[in-house]
Amino acid sequence: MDLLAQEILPEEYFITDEPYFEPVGDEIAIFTAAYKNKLPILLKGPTGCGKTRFMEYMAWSLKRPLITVSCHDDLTASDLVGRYLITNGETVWVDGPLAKSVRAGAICYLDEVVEARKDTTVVIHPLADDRRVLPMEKRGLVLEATDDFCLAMSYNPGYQSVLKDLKQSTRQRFVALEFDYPNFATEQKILEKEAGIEQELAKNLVKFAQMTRNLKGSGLDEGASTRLLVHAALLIKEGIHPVAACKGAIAQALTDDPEMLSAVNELSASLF
Amino acid sequence: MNSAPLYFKTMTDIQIRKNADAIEEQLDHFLDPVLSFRRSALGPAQQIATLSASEQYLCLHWIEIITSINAEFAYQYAAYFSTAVKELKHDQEALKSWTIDAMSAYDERGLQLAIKVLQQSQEYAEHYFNKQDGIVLEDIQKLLTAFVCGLNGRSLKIAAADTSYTDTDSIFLPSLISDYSTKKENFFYYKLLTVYQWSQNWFGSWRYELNEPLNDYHDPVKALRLFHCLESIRLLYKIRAELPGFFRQATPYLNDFRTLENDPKWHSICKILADKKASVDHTFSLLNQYYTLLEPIIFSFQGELLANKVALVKQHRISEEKHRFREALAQIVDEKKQAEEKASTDEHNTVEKTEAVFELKPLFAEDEEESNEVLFFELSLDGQPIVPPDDVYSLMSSIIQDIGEIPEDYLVAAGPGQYVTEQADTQSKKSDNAWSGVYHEEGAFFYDEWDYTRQHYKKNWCVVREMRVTPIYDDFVQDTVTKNIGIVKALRRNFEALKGEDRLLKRQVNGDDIDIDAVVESYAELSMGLEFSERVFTKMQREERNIAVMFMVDMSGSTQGWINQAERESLVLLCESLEMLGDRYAIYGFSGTTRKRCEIYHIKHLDEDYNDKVKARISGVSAKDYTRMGFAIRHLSYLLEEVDARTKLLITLSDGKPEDYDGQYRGEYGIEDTRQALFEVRQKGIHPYCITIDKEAGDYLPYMYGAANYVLIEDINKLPLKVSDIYRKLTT
Ligand SMILES: Nc1ncnc2c1ncn2[C@@H]1O[C@H](COP(=O)(O)OP(=O)(O)OP(=O)(O)O)[C@@H](O)[C@H]1O
Ligand SMILES: [Mg+2]
Repeated sequence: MDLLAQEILPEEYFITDEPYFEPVGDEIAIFTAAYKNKLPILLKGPTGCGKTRFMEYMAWSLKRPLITVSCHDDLTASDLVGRYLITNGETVWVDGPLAKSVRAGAICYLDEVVEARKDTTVVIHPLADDRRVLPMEKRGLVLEATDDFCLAMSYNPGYQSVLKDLKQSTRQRFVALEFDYPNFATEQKILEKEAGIEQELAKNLVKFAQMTRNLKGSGLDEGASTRLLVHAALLIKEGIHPVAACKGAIAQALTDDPEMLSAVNELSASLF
Repeated sequence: MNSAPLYFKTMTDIQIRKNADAIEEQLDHFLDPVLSFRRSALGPAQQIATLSASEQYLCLHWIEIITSINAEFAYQYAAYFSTAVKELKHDQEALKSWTIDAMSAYDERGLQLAIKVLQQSQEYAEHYFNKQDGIVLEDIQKLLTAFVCGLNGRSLKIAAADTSYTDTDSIFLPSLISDYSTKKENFFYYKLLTVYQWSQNWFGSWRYELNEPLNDYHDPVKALRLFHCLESIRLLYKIRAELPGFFRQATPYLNDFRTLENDPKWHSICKILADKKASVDHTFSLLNQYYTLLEPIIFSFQGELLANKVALVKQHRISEEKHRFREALAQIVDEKKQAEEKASTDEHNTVEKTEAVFELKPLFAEDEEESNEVLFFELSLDGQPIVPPDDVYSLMSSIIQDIGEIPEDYLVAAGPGQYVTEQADTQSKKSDNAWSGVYHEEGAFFYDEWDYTRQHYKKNWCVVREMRVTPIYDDFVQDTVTKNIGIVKALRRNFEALKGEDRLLKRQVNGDDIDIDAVVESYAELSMGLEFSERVFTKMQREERNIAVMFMVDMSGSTQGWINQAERESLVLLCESLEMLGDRYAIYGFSGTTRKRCEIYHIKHLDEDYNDKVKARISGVSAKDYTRMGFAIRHLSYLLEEVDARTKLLITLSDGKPEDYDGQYRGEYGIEDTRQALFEVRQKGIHPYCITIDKEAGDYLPYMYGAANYVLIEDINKLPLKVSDIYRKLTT
């Protein structure tokens, strides 16, 4: 394993340049207040609506390192806490990202936490209530979090099947911040700033996004996210025709159904 | 039994052109029942003799099929065939399509109308060849529906009608457009019609009742025409602003509009209607002003304004939506109260019970100050802005679309009394009552059926309803378990073994724990100067059982008696075992009489607990009517398709082959349809399996399910044990 070779020190997770984040509501104030009071935070919301960007912004604004873990269905408690590895014939303990965050007083962001295996709650729960400790079972010790440490996780209520719902005992430990696609004016502004495009174009892209969002549940599982709009905007800025850009960056990302694809393409052709 | 479809048999015949005698001989054979001393097959035979070999072949092939349906129909077919060949320009695809059309007419409306189709081959040809470059609504219905749904506003349905119009619930469009020479243009024309009708809905053409104001004019028809023209102009400007890309594409279709725009007589009108703020009020006032002065233009795409249809739909919707909206508000109040009560238990003070006050504040478009276009309304409860759930949001937008605002009296949460009436109302709509009284197809599912004689699907052929089994609360389940306690125990053991468990994988490159044995070995090897193996970890591997099973139980009349008893007992044993396994499973019964009464009986949903209600329903499973199977397979696989599971099983418990009252479904037809339905099922990634007690099943089940996918059980007690076999096979 080249796990060791990839190791980055928590100091290097500091974000030094202010990330661009356009506040949609009072999320910054709430996050800051929760952080001050050592409360863990749950970000709810659809894909590509700015959760990751928000975390980057908060890490920058609170001047803490940000350690992100993308959860998947094979992610175990040991992946978070740490494990023994063998180096040069010796067994050595290597901290997982959660332990690393606790030690460094970092912000640990567990992305799509419901995907992780059930046993991860064992390590998340004691960290997420007022004990603020990380049990390291294999080493027989308990790591106490400093005041700087912050646990945050994201969760998309729409995607998972009923089986994968977040447990009450987990969700009730967190302060929840609900994210959604920004309103028209804000989303337009995000596109102008993030992709550097003209106001008129940004407006039409947002209009198109709303058309696809109207189709949510009527042929599409999900409408276009802000992220997809940024992608399309970047393509258009490179000289790609808007209809082709929407087709490539948005329509194809949303569906494989040929009829829905044509419908979505007809919609963008109506606008541009 | 030879189950190879007819279609294949005839394909092997050699095509040689036949003379009139040979043809007459064959016709005599096929049409014998309807031929007589005064009516011979000579005439048709002589005509058919003039056709090419492949046409003759096609003709005789179809006559053979049609004869099995109705001999008179077949005779008429023979008589009209040669004319049709000429009309349809010797195009064999066209001939096939004409034939199928006639057969569908026979199925749906009887012999007289089928003969009419045969006679009218000239009209048919015209229509058919138009369709070649034309667009048929049916083919783009889904696309257009999604398209209008993406545009703003209430989602409108798309339906076929003679002219294009809207009733504010649906957009009606002609079923075929072939006015233009290319498919592309014809398609665009559909889009134009659709966008125009959508714009009437979205830009408020129907805000007011139309008949009354128009009847005030001396000539209401003339007033209507001018209104339609003015309103169309207003809408075109709106479309131009909202959908610039579309408007550009529409240029070639809008010549009339451009001429009119450049006409000085219309100049000031256009200026008013082009204004951003122009509403239907402006159209009305212009109508008043110019009623005697202007002759309206009729735009090709404008269709009709059918005020009566709109009134009907709108009236119904407005009262229903008011009701639903107030109910939604009541729910919001409820939720808020609950949250407050929860919060207040800690502090031991009670929440004051005050009347909830809802308010609406219009939100204006931000950027452009000159426009006071209301973007939306902000809803607040007791002074606090709230975000309504998506469905309430679209409800609000639909109400605003209809009346331009949300009136004061909507903002009162529904009282508890109204909940009750609403529920009573929806209850009465439930499908159990659907058969009683007037026959209607509301709430039914429609499924195609495969007709092997024609090698095509009959569209929406089966009318399927989900019904409820009348539960019987007795000790049946308990008694069955007690009686079969030995089997139950064995089954539980069997299933226990199938249960997925975490397996410990040894000697892994990485893992959760150290594999001490491996480490010791490696160290030993290292000290021997060998390379240190890195495979020294153990890892838990989860084997998640991600299975959904659907049991489809035959409830046909033939199961009456001991078979039904055995089926119910098996269900009990299955449930007991599956509960142990923790897999998700559902149970549905099926039966029916004719294609119009296909019935699916709900016994247990996939995510329903195995509770007393389910037990009572199992006890209540009773023998009903016939065994039409295709629809049941299609409906249940449709349900299963929605489920998220890695392995999906559809297991049929049946006592015999498919059969239905109308006789047609008996024999090959039913077998072929069932086989086709099972083929569709496999394509959806679902494994079908059949458990049967029909001793002749070997004749047809392997053909339908495949040799490995069925089991014949002579002793019904073995049934649940067999199911555990299937499980092992499919899940390990
Ligand atoms: N409020 C915002 N301010 C600035 N940029 C934003 C904002 N919202 C979205 N974006 C843009 O959208 C992109 C996607 O956002 P982000 O990666 O944060 O999504 P996410 O919510 O984390 O999605 P996922 O759940 O898929 O991880 C960002 O890279 C950024 O360009
Ligand atoms: Mg993210």
